[in-house]
Amino acid sequence: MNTLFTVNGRKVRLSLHPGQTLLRVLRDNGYTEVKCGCEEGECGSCTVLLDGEAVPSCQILAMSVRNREITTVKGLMDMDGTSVIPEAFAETGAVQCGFCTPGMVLSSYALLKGNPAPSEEEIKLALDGNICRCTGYIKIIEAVKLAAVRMGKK
Amino acid sequence: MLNREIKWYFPETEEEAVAVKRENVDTLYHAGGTGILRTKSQKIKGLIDLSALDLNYIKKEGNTIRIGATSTYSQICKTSLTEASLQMLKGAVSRAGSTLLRNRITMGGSLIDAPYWSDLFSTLLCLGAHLTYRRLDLTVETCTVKEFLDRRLKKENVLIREVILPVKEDLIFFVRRFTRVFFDYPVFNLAFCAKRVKKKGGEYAIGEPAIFVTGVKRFYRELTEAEEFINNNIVDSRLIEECMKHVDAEFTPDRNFGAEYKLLMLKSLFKDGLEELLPNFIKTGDQ
Amino acid sequence: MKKYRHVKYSEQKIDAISLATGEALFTDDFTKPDMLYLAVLRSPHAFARIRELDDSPARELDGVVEVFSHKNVPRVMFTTAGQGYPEPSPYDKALFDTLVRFAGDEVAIVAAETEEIAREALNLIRVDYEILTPLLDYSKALNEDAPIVHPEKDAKAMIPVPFHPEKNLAAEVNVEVGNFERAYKNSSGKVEATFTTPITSHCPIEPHTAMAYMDEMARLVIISSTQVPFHVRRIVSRILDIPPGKIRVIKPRIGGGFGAKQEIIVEPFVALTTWRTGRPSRLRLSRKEVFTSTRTRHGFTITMKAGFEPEDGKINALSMEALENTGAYGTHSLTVLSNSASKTLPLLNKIENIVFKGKAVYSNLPVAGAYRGYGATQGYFAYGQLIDMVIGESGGDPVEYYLKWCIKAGEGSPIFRAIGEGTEGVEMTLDTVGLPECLKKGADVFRWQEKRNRYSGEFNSGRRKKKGVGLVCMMQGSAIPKIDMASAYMKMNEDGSFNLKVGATDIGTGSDTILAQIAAEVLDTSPDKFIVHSSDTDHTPFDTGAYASSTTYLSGSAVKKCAEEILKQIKKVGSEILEVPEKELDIRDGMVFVSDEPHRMIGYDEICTYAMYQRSQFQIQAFASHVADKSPPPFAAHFAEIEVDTETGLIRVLDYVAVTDCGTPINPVLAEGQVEGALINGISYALIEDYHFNEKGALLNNRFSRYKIFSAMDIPPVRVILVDSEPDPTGPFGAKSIAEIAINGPAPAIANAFAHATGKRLYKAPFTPERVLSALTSK
Repeated sequence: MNTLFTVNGRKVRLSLHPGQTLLRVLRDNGYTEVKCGCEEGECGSCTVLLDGEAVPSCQILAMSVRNREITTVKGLMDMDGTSVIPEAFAETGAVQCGFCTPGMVLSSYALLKGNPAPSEEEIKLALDGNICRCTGYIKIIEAVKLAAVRMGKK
Repeated sequence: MLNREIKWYFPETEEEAVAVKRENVDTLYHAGGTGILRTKSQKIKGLIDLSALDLNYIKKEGNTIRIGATSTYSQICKTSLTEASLQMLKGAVSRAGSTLLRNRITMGGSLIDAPYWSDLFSTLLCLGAHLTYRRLDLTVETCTVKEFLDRRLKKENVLIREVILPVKEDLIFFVRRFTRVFFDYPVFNLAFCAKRVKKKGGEYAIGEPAIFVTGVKRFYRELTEAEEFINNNIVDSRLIEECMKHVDAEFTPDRNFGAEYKLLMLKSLFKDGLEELLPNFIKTGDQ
Repeated sequence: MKKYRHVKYSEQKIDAISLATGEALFTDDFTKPDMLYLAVLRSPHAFARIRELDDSPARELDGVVEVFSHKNVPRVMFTTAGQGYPEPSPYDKALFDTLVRFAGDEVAIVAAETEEIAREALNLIRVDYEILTPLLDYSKALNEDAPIVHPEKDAKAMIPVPFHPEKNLAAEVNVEVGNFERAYKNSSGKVEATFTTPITSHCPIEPHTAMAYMDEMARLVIISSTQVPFHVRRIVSRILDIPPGKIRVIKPRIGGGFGAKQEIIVEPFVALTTWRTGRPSRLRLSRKEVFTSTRTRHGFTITMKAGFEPEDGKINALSMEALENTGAYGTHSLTVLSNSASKTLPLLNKIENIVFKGKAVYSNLPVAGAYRGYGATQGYFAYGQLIDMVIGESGGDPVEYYLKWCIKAGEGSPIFRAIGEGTEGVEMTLDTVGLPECLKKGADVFRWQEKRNRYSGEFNSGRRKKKGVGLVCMMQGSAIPKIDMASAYMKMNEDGSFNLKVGATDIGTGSDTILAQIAAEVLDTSPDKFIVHSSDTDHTPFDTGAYASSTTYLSGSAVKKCAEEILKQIKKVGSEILEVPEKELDIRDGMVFVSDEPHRMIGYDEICTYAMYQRSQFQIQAFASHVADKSPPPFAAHFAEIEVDTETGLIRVLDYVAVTDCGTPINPVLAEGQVEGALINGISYALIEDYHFNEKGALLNNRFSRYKIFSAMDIPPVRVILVDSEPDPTGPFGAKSIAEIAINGPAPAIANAFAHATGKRLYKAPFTPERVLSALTSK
């Protein structure tokens, strides 16, 4: 079946089965920037924004969010015309394999929108559901701090 | 994923929702969906989405705090209300799951799902929270969370409407969870609350303590012996040591921890919690 | 020290923005019309014989296209280890077998129109198992009455090494230098201990995934999340009897490897399906399958003995006896076993009498394989603690001790020659050893002396929370000498850019960027002038792959040679245009100029255009290969400060300093990132990670909710320092490796800190609170 969704600010018709998760539906419809790492809400690589809040798309049934604003990392670029967070990640060396990065970027964005000057502890807490095996998180935390400073100056 | 032929219902009132439920077997109420997805059940034929219902609120009404069933843990954490019982609940749910999951897990879903590692129940039990729900015959019932857990009612048949926390004066409390890492499912969850009662002579004592632990055999346990021991007493280090002798709970060993160790850890966290409360018992003089 | 212009500089990773914005494609992001989806039927039993397998009900399901099993796939013995040829790992596996050897072993695969149908069809395959008694305790593997995991007659070793499957012995290494027994007997100081390490998972966040399709020329194309595309081509070719020339393997972006993707696990299934059906196919493992059925770190039990002089701690005799659990198949069993000794024993090279006895045994547990650290992790858990025990017994300070006894520049160790990758090793004297610098720098930054003195009385204080500090020193290697080969190809474009094509496989480490920096340094032009293409067996030259800490050192050397050849050609053309002999020319910022008259210059763009279109035309291009004669070790000193809660057994890491000598860090930020990631993985290995099985051998914690790894909330304060060490003369611009070494440190460093804090030892990792409590009450 086909259903109307709002993804990255655009009304789009997505094909799906009503029992599918948002992750599956997004990936099957070409939003491959949403990554699949565990399908049990534990790794955070499938993070999307739902009305601005970071959520694990593998733990959401797609049909339940058809009236909500869904944003993937690509939509983040379009929406704000900002690439401050990805740039901060790239500059600080926070991107290694990059599989977790879209999710990390979205969780960071959700944090910084509500809390423009987070403490280190608040950054860690905002990212507690996004796991990374490459970086040890050290440069990721650095990246969020850098992004906070830059977004604050804008 | 669930059954591909699953049918969705989007009712706009509680009555409509209950009617759908009554008429369709193997159909569940859906709030955040995290619990439903964990079951991976192919038996589910339909889902009744509750998002259009007017159940998303956190408000103070008289001597109570009312939390709508579709409120998420994150919403609870972000509320600006400052009542102590709500602060205690915030403390409990702000550590549950992960930030991503807290944005999705709802109050109602957690009450129905009630996994043994839930971070919610020890606190609700301590606070003597109530909840209201609608049965299949549309009647609305109110009961305590304890009664809700103890009652043998078929939980998937009830529509949780709201949780009601009492507003308590002079509430002192702590919540502790034992996990391997931060984002983990607690081995057990311990909650303590009591009134700080001012005595003659400017001293403070514990009043009406409530101590609950979840993650034990038979889901939860009230540490009644410890409650009795500590009641009406002034908390100091000696009392804390003594109190530990009255802490007991039955745990099931698992691959990570033995039952004995869990009990040891429970005592240790209980002690830490009480020690943290010590400043509340510093004599302030009788004014 | 030489000033570099493009290396030793933290150039931004060239694919970072593309990855962070979700543009970069991983294997699962490619799609083709008409795709078939695969699902794998896995054995629920740890050990069983398949009496009968009936796939007909599955075939009848609408949407099922093929079912593969031992019934319709010829038996070819191979190893999933993605190693050079001939592999040092035994050929003890068939794609499908009638004997299943662990709970999770492959029984059959279904190819269907959708993933759901494929999964549904699995339930329709009827398998009649004869359940056999499994071998779940590897310490009993060599017992007379132990079940034999590989009774088949066609398992074989490809190189002349001990391989006795009839005794469950997958590999054996015995080496003696001097005379251990005599020297041990004559030593007045003696220590002995047995150490045990867990089975753990790599946890790359991207699950193992492969996709295949037939191209328009009827060739088989495989896209795979692999560390070893060329080995994938060779091994798939052999299993399926398809000429290598008919196969193309493409490596897109890879979501982490750590050794887990040095295994040929998913590729044969998609290759088989596509080759037989002609349709594209895809297999993406679930997280549960990644935990259960890909590869793990080998669990080890290591008994060590040291005979020493109590006055100064001089060790006369050292023995290491290792028992390695390789699980159901012997991938990497021999080489991981060898490395547990070859990467540890040379560190204190003044020890004259050393014996190593290692045995790798089969069991009916998940298959172990390559994992960052590769045996050294397990080896250092034992070695790092035993040396600390000797130091403790002789009353010295660990920093002073290591400074005195560790290997120095210009020295070698008989172990280098004695133990190689399965066979004999390569004799080596070390050109650079930065360990003394690491120790001095680390001790200073960490405030080692001060903390060590401050906590010296903790162990017999009555305090509930005790603090202590611990130190461990390590070395690793840089590539496998005289075995691994890397190559590079480069051509020039008329804007002065270069296509740099390498077989070296960037799996997230940043090697594409590092290789561009190396080429940029040779040609003195901006790194962004290099269009790096890594790993496509059709379009990039051979490279053994991303393993054995080899890419920067080995592939970097190939790139350097290649760029030097390009430079010659550029100068030749420059000389023709500028009418000045080549030797009077110099380069700077993408320009060739006359050394004595710097204003006479010409840009690379013009040089290339000239060579393409003007006179004596040719394509400026070059290729180079590289094999290393040595494997210069990077060195590291790790310092841990911990607090032990003696009531609960919980260990908290308060401070951790890791100082590393990797020669010249080509890209310091990326090098630091390697250390940081390995460290956090190492700390969580030390404290929480472990496989749990039920009594039938089924893995219980086979998902992230049960097998927990650290999140940002769990990381302790760590400080990573790269010492400004001597450039290695054999590495590109002095570089040695860095990817693996750091993971070896945390377990022994924390255990040594525990000993300092409490006076007790932790012999078994991970250090769960219950193990800590029982260590505290031990004698």
